[in-house]
Amino acid sequence: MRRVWVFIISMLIIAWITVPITYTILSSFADLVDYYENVLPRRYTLRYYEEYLRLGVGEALVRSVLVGILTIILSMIIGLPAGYAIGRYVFRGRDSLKLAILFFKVIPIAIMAVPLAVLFIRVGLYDTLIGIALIHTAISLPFVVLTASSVFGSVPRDLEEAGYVFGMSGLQVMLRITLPLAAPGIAATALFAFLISWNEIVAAIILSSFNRTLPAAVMTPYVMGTGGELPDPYKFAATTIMVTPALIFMLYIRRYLIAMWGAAGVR
Amino acid sequence: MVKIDLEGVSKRFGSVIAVDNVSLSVSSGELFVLLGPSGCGKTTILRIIAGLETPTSGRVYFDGVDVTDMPSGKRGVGMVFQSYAVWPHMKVYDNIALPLRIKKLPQSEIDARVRSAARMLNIENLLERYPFQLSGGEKQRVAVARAIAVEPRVLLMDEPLSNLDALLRVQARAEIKRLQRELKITTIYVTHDQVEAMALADRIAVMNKGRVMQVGTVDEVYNKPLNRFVAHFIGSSMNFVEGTITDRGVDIGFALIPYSSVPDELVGKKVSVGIRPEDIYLEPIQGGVVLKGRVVLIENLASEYIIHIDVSGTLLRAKTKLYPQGEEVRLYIHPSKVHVFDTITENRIHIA
Amino acid sequence: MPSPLRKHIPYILVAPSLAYLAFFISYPIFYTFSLALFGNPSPMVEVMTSPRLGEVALYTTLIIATVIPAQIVIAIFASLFFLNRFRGRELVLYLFIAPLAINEVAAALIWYTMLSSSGFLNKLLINTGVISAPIYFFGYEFIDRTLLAIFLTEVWRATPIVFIIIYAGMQMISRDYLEAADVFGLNLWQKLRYIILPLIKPYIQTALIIRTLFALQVVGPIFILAGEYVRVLATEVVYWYSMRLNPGVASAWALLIGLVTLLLGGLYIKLLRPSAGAT
Repeated sequence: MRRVWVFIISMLIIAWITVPITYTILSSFADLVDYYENVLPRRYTLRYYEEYLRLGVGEALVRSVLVGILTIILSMIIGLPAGYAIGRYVFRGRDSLKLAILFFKVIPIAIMAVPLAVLFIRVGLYDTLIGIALIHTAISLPFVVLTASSVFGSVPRDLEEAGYVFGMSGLQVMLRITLPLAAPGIAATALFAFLISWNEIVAAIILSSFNRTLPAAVMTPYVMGTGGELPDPYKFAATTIMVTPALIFMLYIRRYLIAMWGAAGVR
Repeated sequence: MVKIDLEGVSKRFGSVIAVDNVSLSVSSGELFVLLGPSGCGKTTILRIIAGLETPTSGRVYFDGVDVTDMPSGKRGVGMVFQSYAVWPHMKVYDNIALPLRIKKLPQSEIDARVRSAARMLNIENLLERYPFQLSGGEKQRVAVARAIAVEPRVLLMDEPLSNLDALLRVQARAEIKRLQRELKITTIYVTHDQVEAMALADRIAVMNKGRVMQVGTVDEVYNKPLNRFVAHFIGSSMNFVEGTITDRGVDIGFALIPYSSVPDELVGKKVSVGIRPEDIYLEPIQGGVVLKGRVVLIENLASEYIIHIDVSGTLLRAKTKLYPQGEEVRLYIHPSKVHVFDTITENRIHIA
Repeated sequence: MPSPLRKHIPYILVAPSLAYLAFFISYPIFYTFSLALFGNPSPMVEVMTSPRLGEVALYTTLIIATVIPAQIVIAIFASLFFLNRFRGRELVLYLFIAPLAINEVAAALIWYTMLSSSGFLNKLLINTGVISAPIYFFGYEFIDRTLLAIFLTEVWRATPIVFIIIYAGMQMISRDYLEAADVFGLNLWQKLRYIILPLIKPYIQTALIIRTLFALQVVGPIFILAGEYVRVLATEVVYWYSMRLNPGVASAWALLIGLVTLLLGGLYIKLLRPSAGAT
C-alpha cells in the first residue's frame, strides 16, 4: 500500500518537473508548422539555433561563460579566505559577521544595480564583462562565504592538527590536508557561483546595453516579450541553451545545497 | 629520550580555567598517564605539550630546554589522536610517510621506516588501503604507526582506545604497553578510564577541575590516596562514612576504628572515612574491627559478589568471593585499610 | 603556530569579503537615496503619487500572498515524502530540486510552452477533442489567467528553495520522536500537527522570510508572461531604467524594495536569533 503511494507521488513529481522541461527542449527543435499543429512534433530542425547564432546569441553565450568564469575567480579569491576564517576560527564578532553576510544575501539586486550603472558609466565599466562580473561577484559572495565556511568547517580539526604535530607549516597543512579534503565542496561552491552568474538577469540588463549575457540578451525586446517578433520555438531554443548546462551542474551541486540554503542559513 | 617538565602551567579559554597552575615532571622513558573525568584539563595539558595550545602562563621544558613557544612541528613529538586523525585522502602508506617526507628524509630511509613501523603494528598488509577501507582498530594501529615512524622524542596519546570496543581495547592496551617498553619513548597517555590507566602506567597523575590531585605509581594512588577525590576516582567506588577523631581512634558512630598514636591536635576533628568494598571481609581477619549488619541486596558478578549491608542505618558495600550465610552478617575491617580525610579540606589525614 | 599575529588572522581573512560587500552595498544604497530623493520633482514623490503605485502594491502583494503559502505547504509535504527511503529516491529528489538551477526567464518560457495558445496543454486538449478552441492564458483580457500562469511558474521554479530549508529542518528531527509518536498511536496528521510542525517552526520561518525577500525581486516571469499588464516593484525598476531611461524613478522604486526588504529583514534577523539556539 505504502509502496503504491510512493510510486504514485514519485511519478507525479517526475511528471511535474520533466514534462515542461522536455517539452520545451523538444519544441526548440520542432518544425514551425508542426509546432503550431501537433502535440508531438514529427519533423525536427536546427533552424532556430542557426538563426540565433546570426542574431548574436552565440556571442551572448560566450559572454555568459566568460562572466561566469570571472565571477568564479573573483568570488573564490575574495570569499574562500573569509569562508575558511568563519569555518575554522572562533573570533569576536563571528556571529554578527555571519548574520551580516546572511543579510547581504537578500539585498535587492535592483538597489545595487542602478547606482552601479551610473558609476560604471563614469569609470568606463558599463557594458563590459568585468563590470557585470563585479556585481555578480557581489551577489554570489555571501553564498560562497557561507558555503565555504561549512565546507571548511566539516574538515575535522584533528586532521589539520596532526599535520602541525608532524612538522608541517601552515601552508603545507593547507595545501596537503585542508584543500584536498575540501576540494569537492569548493568545486561545488565554484559551480554555484557560476550558476548564480549564469542565471542572473536584473543586474545584467541594467549594467549593459550591447554586450549582454545570455539571459539578458534573451530578454531584449527583439527576441522576447509577448509581442515578440520571433516565433515561439526561438524562445525555446534560448531556454534550452540556458537550462541544459545548469541542470548538469545541479547534478554535482545538489549534495551541498543544504549547506547553501538550509542548515548554514539557520546555524 | 627526553624528560618533560611543566612549570606552573595554566590555560584559560575565555572565563573558563581549563588548566590551573599545573607543575609536573615526566621522567625519561616513562609511560606517564594523565587520568581524570572529562573536562578535567588532561587533554589540554597534552595539547600544550604537543604545541597545539599555548599556555596562558607557565613554561614547558623538554630536557631543560624551554619549548613553550616552539611550533608544534619542531618539537619532535609523535601524537595519536582520539579520533586517530588518519588523513582520509591518503593511503595508509602515505599517512605514515608524509611526516617523514616533510622532514625531507631520503626516500630509502622513509620506506624503511614506514615498513618497520608497519611491521611493529602488524599492518603491513594494509599499506595500500585507504582509511575508509579500515576498521576502527586498524585505523588506531595506523595512527600509532605514524606516530612512532617519526622516531619522536615524546609520544603523546589522547584517549587512543576510547573508540574501540571493550575486547579490542584490552588487546590494544597490552600492545601499546609492549611497544612502549620496547622503544622506551617518553610517553604521555591521556585517559578517563582508571583500569586502562592502572594497566599501562609507570606513574599516574590524577586530575580534577584543571588541577593535579596526586601523582604517583599505581600502588601509591590506590593505597595512599592523597585526598577524597583520588580515593573516590581510583578503584571500585569507595564507601564513605562520616566520623570524628577521638584520642583512641576514629569514631564512625556504629564502631570505633582504633589507632594507637593519635596526635592531640587532631582530636575532635570531623572526618570522612573511606573503606574500599574489597577491604571489607565476611570472614575474620587478624587485627580486624568487627561490625554487625544485615544483608539488603546481593549483586552476583559471577566471579564475585557485591553485597549491600545495612550497618545500623548506614549502607556499606562489600566485594567478596564468599556468599553470605543468612541475613545477619559480621564484617571485618583492618584499620590500616581505612582512609581518613578531613571533611572540610578533603585531604588525607595520616593516622596510625 | 602560536604567534602574536595569530589573533588577527581571522580578521585579515575576512577583510576582503567584508570590504567588497560593504562597497557594493553601501555605495549603491547611498547613491540610490540621492537618486531617488533629489531632483525636481523628486522621483520618490513622483512614485508615491503615481497612479501605478496602487496597482504595483496590489500585484506584488497578491503574487507573494498566494505563491509563498502554497510553496510552504508543498515543501512540508514533499519533505515528509522524501523522509521515506525508496528505490529511485535520489533521482526523484534531484528532479524535484532541479528547477533551482533554472533562471527566472527560462522557467517562465518553460511554462509559456505549456500554457500558450499553441502550447502543450491547449494542443493536447484540442487534439484529444476535450475543447474546440484554445484556452488563452496571456494577453490583456486574460490577466486572471496570466496571474495563474505566474503562480504556476513561481511555484514550480522556487519551491525547491523552501523545500531545501524545511527538509534540512525535518532531517534534524530525531527518528526517536517519530517512533515514540507511532508507539503512542498518533496518526500521520497528529504527528504533523503536534510533533513535526512545532519542531521545524524555525525552519519554516526562515524559509518564509528568505523566500519573501527573493520574491520581491522576481522580474523574468512577470515580464515574459504578462508583458506590461502586471506590474510589481521589481519590474518597475527595470522598466524605468531600461525602457524609460529614467534612473531617478527606477531608484525610487528600488528604494521601495529596499525599505520593504529592510522591514522584513529585521523580522528575519529577529526570528533567526532564537532559532540559532534551538537547532
